[in-house]
Amino acid sequence: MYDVVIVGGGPSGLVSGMFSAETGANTLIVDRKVEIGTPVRCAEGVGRDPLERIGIKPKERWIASKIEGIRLVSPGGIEITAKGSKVLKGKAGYVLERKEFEKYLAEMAIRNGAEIRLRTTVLGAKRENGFVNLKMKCGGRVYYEKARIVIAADGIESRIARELGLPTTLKLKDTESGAQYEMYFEAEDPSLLYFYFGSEIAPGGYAWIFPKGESTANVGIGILQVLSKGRVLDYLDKFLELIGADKRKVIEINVGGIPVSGPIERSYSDNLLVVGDAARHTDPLTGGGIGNGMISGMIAGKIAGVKSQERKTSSKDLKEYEDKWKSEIGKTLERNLKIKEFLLELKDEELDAIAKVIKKKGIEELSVMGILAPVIREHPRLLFRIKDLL
Amino acid sequence: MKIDLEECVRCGTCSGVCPQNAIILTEFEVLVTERCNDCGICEKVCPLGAIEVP
Ligand SMILES: Cc1cc2nc3c(=O)[nH]c(=O)nc-3n(C[C@H](O)[C@H](O)[C@H](O)COP(=O)(O)OP(=O)(O)OC[C@H]3O[C@@H](n4cnc5c(N)ncnc54)[C@H](O)[C@@H]3O)c2cc1C
Ligand code: SF4
Ligand code: SF4
Repeated sequence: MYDVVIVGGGPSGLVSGMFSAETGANTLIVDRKVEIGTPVRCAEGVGRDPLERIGIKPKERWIASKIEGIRLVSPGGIEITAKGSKVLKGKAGYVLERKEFEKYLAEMAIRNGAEIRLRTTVLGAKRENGFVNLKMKCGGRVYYEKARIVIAADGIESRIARELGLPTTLKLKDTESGAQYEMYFEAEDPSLLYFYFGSEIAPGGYAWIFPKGESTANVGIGILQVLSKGRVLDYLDKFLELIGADKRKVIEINVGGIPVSGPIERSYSDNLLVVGDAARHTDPLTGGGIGNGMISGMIAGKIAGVKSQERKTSSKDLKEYEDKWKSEIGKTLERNLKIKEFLLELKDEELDAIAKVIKKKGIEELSVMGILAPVIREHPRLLFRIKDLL
Repeated sequence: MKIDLEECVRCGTCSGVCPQNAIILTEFEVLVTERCNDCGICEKVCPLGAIEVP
């Protein structure tokens, strides 16, 4: 019997493990993969803020590049660039070397006493007399493992919460398909993140270039498959042509789903907490999920660690988790979901019009509201449409 | 429902949208359990077009 079993060894699960083990709880992290950190399925962008909140100091080993600004490109090709300390206001970010980053998180979890079991799939989960019985498969061998509390950190699939009775099924309209090449590419300014919008380029999403130093970049795209006329990889190849990138210089291909539904209705029940992408804590506007996943993982890990040892594992005992993550990331998730739905309604011409205003007035601060503020001031009528977002 | 394993990149998206929770990814396989009722939802989301529902 383990105090805490964490299903999934991505960033959310690993951070859950770090904090659960730190409380002294007997903690196991399970992942079906053969290697922590691979495959990447991510553009690897992360803000400094979530790293600080979970208390991790940046290490050269897993930082590919430091980000000092952004460039937004509208459907009609209007470019808006914001860079430097005036707009950053301490909000700098990084492009990670995520393979290294996740291994580092795994080391921290192990140092705190967590066990990791790879090449092991959790097939199913059932509650029995106050604990959860997990059906595991490693190679051809099927066996069972018991947990007082399960942390479901199983990413986009989020099967484990559903096995234990919490609905997490994504709607098609809330599921972005992402595809990305890591490739040899010399970005004009490697300290910027580049975002491209437009219904031709990326229906229901956006395309990006995240430089990883002078000559390598993550070039990718997220689209709503239901609004698209083809496969995501075809859209990505078209984007490569637009930016003049050469497909023969690709060194890694990643395809993955991104939940943009906003958080699941309920993220806890008897013997269960749900974190990260599995809880749909991914930012529905940006598609970024590493930061939020680590924050909900930290909160869940601490609570599961303490409560499992006190044998307080009922739904009532675990509600604290939901209250805490809501106070940390709930408001931003809610607001960004509304902004996403608002932007989804706009036509390309309307996006161009907004881009013109932002370009004229300039970005005040590298945040969602810092980008939109000048538009709202110039066109107060727009405020009516988005005032409930503020 | 059938998955063309030569096209599939094991991204897991189909599993996330399946109302029956019928798709299980393991390290090497994508298993479709008997819960599947051929509703066709996963076919619409697969980024590689690897799923075919009769
Ligand atoms: C193309 C693309 C680009 C992205 N870019 C960014 C970005 O720039 N910045 C950002 O912050 N986010 C980005 N994201 C989102 C980000 O990758 C996710 O939000 C993040 O990985 C979520 O972490 P997680 O730990 O919750 O889930 P995951 O990283 O998905 O980890 C889940 C783990 O659970 C394991 N697992 C699942 N089911 C089982 C089971 N039954 N048994 C055993 N193991 C299981 C899986 O093998 C996996 O390792 C991007 C996503 C995509 C697809
Ligand atoms: S969505 Fe398509 S590519 Fe992804 S795992 Fe399912 S079948 Fe494979
Ligand atoms: S056809 Fe429907 S029930 Fe069957 S696996 Fe796909 S989504 Fe699930």
